[in-house]
Amino acid sequence: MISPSLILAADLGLGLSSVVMAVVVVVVKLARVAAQSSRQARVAPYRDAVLAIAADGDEDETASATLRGIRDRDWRAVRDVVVGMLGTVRGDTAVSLVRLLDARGEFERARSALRSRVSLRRARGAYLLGLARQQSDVGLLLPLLADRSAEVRLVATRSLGSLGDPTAATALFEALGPVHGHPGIPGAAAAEALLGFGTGAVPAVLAALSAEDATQREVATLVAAEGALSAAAPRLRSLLAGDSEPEVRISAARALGAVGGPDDLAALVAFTESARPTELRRAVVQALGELGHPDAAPVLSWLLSDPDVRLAQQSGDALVQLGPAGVQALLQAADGPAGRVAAGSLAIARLRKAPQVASVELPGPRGEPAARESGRQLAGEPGSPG
Amino acid sequence: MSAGRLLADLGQVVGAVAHGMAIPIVVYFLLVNSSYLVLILLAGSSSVRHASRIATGGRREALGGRLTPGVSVIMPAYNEAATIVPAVQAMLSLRYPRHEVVVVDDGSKDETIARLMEAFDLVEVDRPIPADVPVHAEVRSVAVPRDGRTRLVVVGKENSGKADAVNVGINASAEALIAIVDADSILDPDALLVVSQPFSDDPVRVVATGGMVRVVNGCSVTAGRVTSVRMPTSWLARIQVVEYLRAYLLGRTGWSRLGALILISGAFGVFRRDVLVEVGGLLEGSLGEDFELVMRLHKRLRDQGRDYRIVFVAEPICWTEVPVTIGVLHRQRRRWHRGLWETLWAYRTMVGRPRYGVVGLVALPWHYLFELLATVLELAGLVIIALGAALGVVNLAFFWLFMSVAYVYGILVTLAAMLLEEMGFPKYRRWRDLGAALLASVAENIGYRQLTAWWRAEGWWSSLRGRTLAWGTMTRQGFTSGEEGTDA
Repeated sequence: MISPSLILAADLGLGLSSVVMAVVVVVVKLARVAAQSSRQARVAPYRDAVLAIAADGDEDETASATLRGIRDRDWRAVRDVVVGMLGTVRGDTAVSLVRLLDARGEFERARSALRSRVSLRRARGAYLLGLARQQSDVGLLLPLLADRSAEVRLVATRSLGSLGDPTAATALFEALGPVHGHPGIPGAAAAEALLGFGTGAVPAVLAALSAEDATQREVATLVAAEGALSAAAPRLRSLLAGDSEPEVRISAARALGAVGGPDDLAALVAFTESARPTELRRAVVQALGELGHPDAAPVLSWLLSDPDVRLAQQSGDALVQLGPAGVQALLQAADGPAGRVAAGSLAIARLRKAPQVASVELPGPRGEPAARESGRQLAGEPGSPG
Repeated sequence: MSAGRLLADLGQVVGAVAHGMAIPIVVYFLLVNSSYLVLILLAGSSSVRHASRIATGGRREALGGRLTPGVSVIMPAYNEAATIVPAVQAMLSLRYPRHEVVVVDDGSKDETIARLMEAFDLVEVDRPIPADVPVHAEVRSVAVPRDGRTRLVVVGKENSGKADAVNVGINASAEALIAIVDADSILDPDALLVVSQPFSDDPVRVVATGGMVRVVNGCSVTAGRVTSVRMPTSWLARIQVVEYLRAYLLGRTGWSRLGALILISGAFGVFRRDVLVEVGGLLEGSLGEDFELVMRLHKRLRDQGRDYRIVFVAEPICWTEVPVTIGVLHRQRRRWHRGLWETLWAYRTMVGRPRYGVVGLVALPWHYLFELLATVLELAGLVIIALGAALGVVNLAFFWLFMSVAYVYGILVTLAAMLLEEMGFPKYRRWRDLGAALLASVAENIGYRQLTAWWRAEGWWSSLRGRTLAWGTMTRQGFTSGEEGTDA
């Protein structure tokens, strides 16, 4: 049996700890409120100057001169406002803010922070240099792509994208590989950064389409699609036809839809067969719609009856994108076994005011209540917006 | 045998049990609360770390990104006519580059669908819904806004429960990520950006994320947004405020830090669509369908040997209404505990098996020992005290002192959670709210805790006896607009 005095001591100890904890909660709140008030008080005298820069870029540099001269302890509060604003503005305003931060030594501190042992400091340094958009910092940011912290690698990737220097493209592709046993930089972040490089990154993107690493190939297909890189089409065809990774083939199909031409039709159609993986078939159908070539109409019409309802609907939507030939195919299908899918695609297209269906007379009411409603309203009968 | 002798014998037995159980019970509660404290400290470091990284986290870039993954927000709704229109408006106006809202009306008996039809000028379209995951109920209608631009789909179906409604929503949705949101949940404007960020940062491994949920009762809500955060006036709701705070820091953020998050609240969670389809969506008929889904994800992905992450975002972004009547709270807790038990039991083969990593070796045993059993042990202690006192075989003052060790330690744990809230993402600005929260952390132990323990035991017992448990109705009060927040 435990002695009552021991229990009492435990009770008192825990009770006292609870009281102390409650006091700490109050003290932390007090400190937070006080710090917030102090920060606001320090920013207040300079708010007009910051807003003046934001409003007109501070052509006469009066506001910048005021902010350059303020005390360090006040500047620390103002700095956060300036950095926050820099992330949301462009043009002369951004240039003025960058000059101000440079004059206050913020970028030098950011460059020093890149060597800090603390990952948060390295990330903040990289972030600020990204906002500054000074090409000379590319060389400092590139080593961070192999940083031991995933967070730092990611921030460095985004900052390189902001700087827009295509010489970093190859390094970005290489950084997609594992680092210290962990996944490399995320593919989408790398692709966004590469898109920020413009045409200067094209050689690196084309090279990456043939890289050994599947992630590099996949990211390159994303960039080719979003960047409308038509020079990539031949390589994309090869990737669709024979890449070992299903994800790369899917991505290549999507990219072909964006950058391909009539010559790619046959290559894409071959992958609509029911034996192909579901996701690949769906990607191909969307790509056929993107290509918009009327010769895709027969195969898309046939797919309206596919047992995969999602694929069938995507085929209907793709047919709308083909223009008159596709819409005609949908109208013909409306009376057949795939009528519900076809009518649904036409109805949605009309609601979206797709130009392809603007002059088309839609089929009349069908058997089901929902179809009657949509058919009546979409055909311009009373109660319809026309 | 005389009644006196019987009472004397009973007294001896109760006295022996009381003295025999004393040390194990106190050790058990010390272990429970110490593990809570460790989890809360882990959660605290996550919370503070997350707060310090918001500026560099890439939220601004995600908003303007061309490759940010699209999100389908699925809102299952049943008799939500009172709040559905502002809730959908709020979901549509979330800050995100590409998202759609899919409302699935689960055969409501009120005007849920009619109000949506009117507010969003919907027209029905005869479009079959794909069958990516199996569903049981018949879909009655699919409607979209007449303007053709607003990304809203409203599906009407016969009543078949929340899980089936969500599965219909999964089938009707189009984007790569699926957010499952209760129709009465209120999301902060950046909620989708925040909770989908891990999918962009670690796209290969992250399969699901959850966001921190807070209590909306007492807050002011304007146009589907929380505009002023305040404590509710009802003590029942106030206690649930501190309970949520502790539970989310402890049960979600702490476990997420250990890589063993086993529950993403049904109020707000985001999942990779392909993974949801692969596991067949939510399990119909489960009382803890959110818990069951996450457990199924763990089991499937571990069985496949995949490198994956289920992440909890330590930022309060979702607000939900809690019960303010004893009856509704009773049903809710009974259902929750039954769902906990049934899911734990369904996945009992994962317990203690190294192939399931921290989930199997730590999280599941912990939930069995400290979430499930705590209820029974607490009640057993109270019953023995009551019996012993009635029979005059235990020193009542001593045993209350004894039980209070567990209760005072519990208060300490709650206060630790409040401290971390202040250091990470403080939401309550007024001093009087802090005072109310401090008092609620004490009041929780006087009656509320014992009552909920009883209800939870009821839920467990009803499951063991195989009795059917209905979902019951959560009476919505609607939200308070304007400056003066009152209990929702």
